Amino acid sequence: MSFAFVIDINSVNIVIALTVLILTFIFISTEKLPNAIAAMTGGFLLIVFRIVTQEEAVEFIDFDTVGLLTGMMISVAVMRKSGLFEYIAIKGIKLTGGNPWKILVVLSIVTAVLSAFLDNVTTVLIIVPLTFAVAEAIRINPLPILISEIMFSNIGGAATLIGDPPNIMIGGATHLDFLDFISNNLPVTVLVSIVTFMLLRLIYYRKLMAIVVEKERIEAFDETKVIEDKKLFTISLVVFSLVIMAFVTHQLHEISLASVALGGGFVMMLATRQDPEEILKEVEWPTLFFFLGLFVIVGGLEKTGVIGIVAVKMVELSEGEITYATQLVLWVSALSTTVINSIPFTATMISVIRDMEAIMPGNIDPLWWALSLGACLGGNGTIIGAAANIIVAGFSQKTRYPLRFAEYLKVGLPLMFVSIIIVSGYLFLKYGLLR
Amino acid sequence: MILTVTLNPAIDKVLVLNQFKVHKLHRLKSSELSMILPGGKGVNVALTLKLLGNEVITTGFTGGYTGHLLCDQLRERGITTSFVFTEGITRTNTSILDLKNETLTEINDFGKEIEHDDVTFFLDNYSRLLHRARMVVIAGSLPRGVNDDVHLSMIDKAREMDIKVIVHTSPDHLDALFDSSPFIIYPDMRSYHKLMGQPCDGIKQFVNVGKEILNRNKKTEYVIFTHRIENVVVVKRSKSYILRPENLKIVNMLGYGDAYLAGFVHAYHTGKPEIDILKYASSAGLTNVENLYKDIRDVSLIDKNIDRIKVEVLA
Amino acid sequence: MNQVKDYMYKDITSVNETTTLRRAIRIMRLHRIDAVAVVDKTGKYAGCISAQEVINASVPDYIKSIYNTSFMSRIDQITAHLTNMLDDPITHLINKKCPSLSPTDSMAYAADLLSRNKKTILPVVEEGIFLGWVSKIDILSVVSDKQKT
Repeated sequence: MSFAFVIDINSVNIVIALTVLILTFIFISTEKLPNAIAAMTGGFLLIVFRIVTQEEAVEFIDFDTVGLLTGMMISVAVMRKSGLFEYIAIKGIKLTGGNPWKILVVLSIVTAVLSAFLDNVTTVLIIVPLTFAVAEAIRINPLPILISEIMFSNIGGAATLIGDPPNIMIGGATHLDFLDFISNNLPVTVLVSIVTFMLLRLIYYRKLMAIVVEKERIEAFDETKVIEDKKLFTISLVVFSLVIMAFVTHQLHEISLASVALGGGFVMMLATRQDPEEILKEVEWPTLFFFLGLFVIVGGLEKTGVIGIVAVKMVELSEGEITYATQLVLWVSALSTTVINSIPFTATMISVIRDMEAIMPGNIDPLWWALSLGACLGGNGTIIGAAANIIVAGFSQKTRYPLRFAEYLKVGLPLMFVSIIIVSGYLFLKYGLLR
Repeated sequence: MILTVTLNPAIDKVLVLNQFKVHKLHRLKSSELSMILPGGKGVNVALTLKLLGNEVITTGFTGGYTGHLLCDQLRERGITTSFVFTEGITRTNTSILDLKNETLTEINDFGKEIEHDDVTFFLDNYSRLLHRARMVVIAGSLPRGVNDDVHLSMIDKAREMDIKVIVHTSPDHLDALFDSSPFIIYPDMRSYHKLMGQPCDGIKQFVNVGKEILNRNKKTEYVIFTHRIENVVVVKRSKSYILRPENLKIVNMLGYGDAYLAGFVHAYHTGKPEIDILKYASSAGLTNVENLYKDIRDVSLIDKNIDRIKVEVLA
Repeated sequence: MNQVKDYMYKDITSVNETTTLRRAIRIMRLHRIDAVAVVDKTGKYAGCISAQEVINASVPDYIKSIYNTSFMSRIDQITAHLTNMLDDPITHLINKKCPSLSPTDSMAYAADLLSRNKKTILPVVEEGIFLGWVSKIDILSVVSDKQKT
């Protein structure tokens, strides 16, 4: 009798937690509610329904992730003031001599590199307006460049631990450190980049090169002017390099990611004499609260045992074989994140993989890489696949060149499949055959 | 609010000289006067109306530094301006008053050409101003580029809103107005002694032509001739008035008609009996010509001079 | 008390919702004033269009999103955008929520409202009727030796 009662309570809890999670997913994916509001309200509901207590909710929050995000946001806010990003982008553009295809390549590479170190949304917010400025100056259609930039923001973001929210979350939740990400993800992202450039060249080269560009229009840009304060420029660059070095050498000092990032951010403010009020305003508080809310919801779900059930199912499906499980996680992640936000998806999957770890024999690291690469690159499939995509599309709607869903899909979806096939082969070779 | 329209305003350069001679360099002495004043008929009316305590808006076309000078001076006197600024500059009218010989020499510049687009905008702006007006006074000449139709449009727009219009302009612009029936037609006969194709001077002709105008303009109530200051003729359908000032001492005829008009409009809005309105208007004209300036500086004199106006009524 | 009605700039030239931007700019330029009032068909004040808003609208969103545009100092995109807008009606440029003054407000309040809203000029409106403008210079003239205008 009492046993049945317990089951009953738990199934009610499962229904509530699942409902909250699904509603949150829906509200976020359809953009009916701002992410932060949806996630925080969802988390609050779980506490109201007594599925989690406040103490538990706080425990669910992965402060390594939140701290790393915050620290990076602070550093970026200071570095933006230095004009560093504009300097790099404009310098690159001028090197192309106004050749539109080369501009696409250069801006995509800059996007990829910046995304590898900064949040993708921040990167496209820097690069896309510059792209419009350049495209308008040389009178070309910016859409091919924008599409390429979207793809490379996600590809570049996949390369490092700090490049994309899924990676930051995985880095925060697991033992995998900065160097692990570099050694596992960087080679395959470079490969994906090369193939993507080749395919984009097939699609866009003729269209882009149909226009004769006046070189003087590019020469009129003056990148030297953006560096108004040389000292700020140098100091922020040095401190940021130190932060990256600290990430790379994590095994030597074992200072956690969040501490390095937060410490780096505040040291940068100290060294460049910033007004904290001004810089802290630049921190994307809505994103941080979005993460906080999500951690609580996923934690609540975990507590109800639903996550465990999914984990068991996934292990069953892959017959307990790590190679199969890796492919399963990769494709599920890639296909899911083409339509739903990769952040709540990753938060959920992290719990699932943790539970799988308990019942799978051997090293499950390939699953983390599959999740990381699947969730990052899957975002390339559609215009709503990643936050950066949505930002670029939204931005373009206000211009003469609105980026349409179908137009992006025609290019993005096939290229996403190609990249996942490459990753699939890579993971299969690396962790299946060559193990 | 009374809205006065001056399509072709001016800056009046007034020189009061002891003696004016051609072919001679005049250096002004301290006993002589040089004034720069806002001018144009509607502007003069507005100035006097404001002095009499009425709230006034003025509109028309203006431009350039003289345009700004004009508007600044009007606003300084508390008048609300809403001129349409055009690319050209507002003209300057020069008047030289010779005290010894009692002569007045006037050189009226022509206005700059107004672009069609500006005329359209003027009418557009005028329509909005009408919402604040209880009477419209259209006075003065037309600048180049603006044809008589603008008068018709203004009268029609005002009628739609049930606002009375007084037109004070020279006979060559009046023919176009017939059939539009403004409240008062007040021909400016200074340079023309013909109206409706016939000679028009002297009491008899004024009355006859006035009646003819009233016949053609069904809604017009008054036709006023003030050109002969010794016999101001006001023609109505039922009767006509002749108003004569006593002991007239003309000092400066400048601005006489405008002062008359301002006096009429002011008195009309105080709700006086018709005869008193006409006497007040004539007294304003009289007061104006008896002072040196082109406008009345001491409005209390108007009331004092009223008794010097004698009225004769013709059936 | 120094009241708005004693210092306001009583020029009430106005436009309506369908006036072209070209005309609105022409008024601002020739009247040497930073804004034009919008008055509707019934003679009621409906908002204003200021030089500030016109310039703001002619700067494309992408330029506004660039953190530091100094590298574009030799690029002339904004005037091109403005040129394209000239013959459009001003409808979408009208600031219907532009703060306004009442003639009986004090000039001190006018000063505060101007600086609070980062405006150079504010309309004076009474019972829906547009009466004139108060600009920063009008505020300064309250304390300067220049007497009421």
